[in-house]
Amino acid sequence: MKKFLTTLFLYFLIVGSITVAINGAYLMVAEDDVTERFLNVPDQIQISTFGSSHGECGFDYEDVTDKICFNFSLTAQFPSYDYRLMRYYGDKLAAGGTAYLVVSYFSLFGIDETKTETFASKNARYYSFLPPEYIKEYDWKTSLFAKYFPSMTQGEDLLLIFMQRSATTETDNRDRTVNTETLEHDAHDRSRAHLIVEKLDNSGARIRNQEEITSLYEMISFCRERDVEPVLVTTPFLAEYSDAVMETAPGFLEEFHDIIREITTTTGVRYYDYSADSRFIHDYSLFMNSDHLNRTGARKFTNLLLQETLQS
Amino acid sequence: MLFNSLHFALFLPIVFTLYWISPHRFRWMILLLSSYYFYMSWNVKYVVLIVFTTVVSYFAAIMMEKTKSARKKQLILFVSLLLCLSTLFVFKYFNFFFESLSGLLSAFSIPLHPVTLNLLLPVGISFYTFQTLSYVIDVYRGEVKAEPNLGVYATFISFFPQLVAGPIERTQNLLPQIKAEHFFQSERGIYGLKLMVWGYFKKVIVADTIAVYVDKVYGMLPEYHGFSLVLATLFFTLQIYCDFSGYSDIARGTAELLDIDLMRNFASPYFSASVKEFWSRWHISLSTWFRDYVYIPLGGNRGSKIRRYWNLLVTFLVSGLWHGANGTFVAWGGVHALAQIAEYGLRIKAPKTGFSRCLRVLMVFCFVALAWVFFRAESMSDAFYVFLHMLDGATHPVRYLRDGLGVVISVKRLALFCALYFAPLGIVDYWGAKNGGDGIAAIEVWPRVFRWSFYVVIGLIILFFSKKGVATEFVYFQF
Repeated sequence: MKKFLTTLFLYFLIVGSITVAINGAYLMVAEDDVTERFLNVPDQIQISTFGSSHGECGFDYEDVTDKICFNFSLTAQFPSYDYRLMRYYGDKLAAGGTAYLVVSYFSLFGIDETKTETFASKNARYYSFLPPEYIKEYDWKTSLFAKYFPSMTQGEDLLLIFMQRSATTETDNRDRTVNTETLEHDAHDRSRAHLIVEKLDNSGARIRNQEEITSLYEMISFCRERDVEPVLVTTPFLAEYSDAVMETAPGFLEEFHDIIREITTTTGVRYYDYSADSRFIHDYSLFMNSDHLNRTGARKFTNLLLQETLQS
Repeated sequence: MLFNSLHFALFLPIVFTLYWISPHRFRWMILLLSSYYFYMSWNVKYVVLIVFTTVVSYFAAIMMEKTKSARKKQLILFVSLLLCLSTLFVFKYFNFFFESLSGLLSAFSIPLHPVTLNLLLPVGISFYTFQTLSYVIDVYRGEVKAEPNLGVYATFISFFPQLVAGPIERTQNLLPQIKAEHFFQSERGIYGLKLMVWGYFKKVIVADTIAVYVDKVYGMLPEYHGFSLVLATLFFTLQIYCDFSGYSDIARGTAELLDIDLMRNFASPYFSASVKEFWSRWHISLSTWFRDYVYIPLGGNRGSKIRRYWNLLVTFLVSGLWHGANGTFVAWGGVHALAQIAEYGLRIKAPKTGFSRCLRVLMVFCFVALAWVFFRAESMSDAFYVFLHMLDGATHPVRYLRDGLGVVISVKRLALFCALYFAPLGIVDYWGAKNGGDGIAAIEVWPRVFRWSFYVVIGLIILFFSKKGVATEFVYFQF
């Protein structure tokens, strides 16, 4: 038994030590973790953005120096989580301000988010800044990992993170411009991921996600109760992406706009659709891929949007 | 309770400690209590079924041993088999049977009011029922003595490492070990831990990771065609193997910690050079069960060629049905039988070495992977969809591969899987195939530094890359 226990102890000691070392390295590499900003959310936010990566990449408030702005968007974040963030940080939104609610094509469709393949890794990021009652399917074990061993919640992405960091430490992805050689393929893949994967039922019909649609309504009401003006926005895309959307799912845009029309008619909320805006759709210098603006594009878009929405 | 749950991580050390600090005469009681606790943590009510099966088979065996009359023995055997199989039938096959009957009768315009039982399939029912059947049949044949102690016998039937997904143990192997006095052997304990680490790697890393991609494609088949179907099928081929053999390794490893030796269930099956060889390496406890209790009683290799082929076909069709109450499983069993019949008929034998063996291994792997389509598909029409569309666009190979890959998984991630997951799996299995089938025992010849590095890396991969807070079920639990 002595030999057995010694071997077991040695094994755990070695694996444990390496684990701690890897976690330390991860914490150093991931010091610009996208969720860190949620730990320092300012008070009296006058302009806020809620949404997915389209909101995260599409809004850059660097040039807006006279107002307090904050971007709550996160990659693949659906309205149901936007609403959770809005409720939690609701007291930080200033009366008289504006909240941009970014509606991506995938936001309102598809299966329950908790059943999607990426849910677990996506959900883990909220553990570092949201209290348990705001986290979907809260689990104390995940909480422990997310707080003390965040490197262990990344899955295989951990290696990709290390590899990408060493490859792109000089150039942030958001400063890239779109690769025109692979653009068409990228647009096709993205439209498929946005409109097909986990978005259709067994008969092939598109699933309207009632939870996400309701969350959008609830965010609108929530904003108004606090005297914050909600504005729905769809960010600019390249023409290649819009073409791919129409090719991948003919009739989708009508379906999407039907829901938006229903929301705007019922609530009177303003909706700005920049998806086919001629100032963007052919300008490759403004995009990092077929549907995400790069930093330059985000600045241009944010300034334009503020001009057009705050003045009207 | 799942092997890959926190519950089990707490349960096993407690059982291990209690087992080894207790005097020998109490150990079977600890195993019995822990086994029933293990099962009841899934569903308390369904423990009644194990108790029922255990009591019926226990008394049947005692009565058979006491009676002198052959007719009486036969009657007892018949009644006990009927009772044990009836629970399996009600919980697993009733709905399938009525649906099939209804479909058949409606073809003759005879309406049959459909009857559907909304019953949860008890975990492991097929496994422990088969273990019970082999005991009763062995006692009937006089190959083993009836166990006089109901408690010990109940421990044999419910032994927790193999209760819900096998290996389906034989009386001669497991029952004496439960009664025997055990002394802890460090070497066996360490070997058990190695098996468990390897089993967890296969289950929570390889199987669970690629299951996501398999489910994505097979859950929405009409959306996919071409290479994406091939890739999903190849992934399922690895998933089913890693899921099930991973379970078996954890089960064996757990039993080794208790100084109990369970039979090896897998022996590098994807390195088989014939379908016959595949079945001597895949789910060995079930295939030998069917050999001994179905194939040989049907006549086995005796009689004419046609008779032998018939026996083989029946055995594999029943084996398919054992896996699930669905025509797809029967079809899966059927194609395996037909392949073996072809091997017999054409006198194809597995080459022992050389390039021809490599080529044959590849061919058998492709056949087995294609046959898995029946196993994974929800229906026969889904299976045929896969077969009909998997070569769509293959006339433009580069585009075929690129498009197929693109919609299932990124090249970068696939490369990562190959390097981190599939490569260790291939190495250990290849080593195992060359050295008697047990990869973990085979790599013991590696220098100590290599071995330690290997297990440390595998442990780190499990720690870092497994899904946290989620314990996914094992595929074979449904059988």
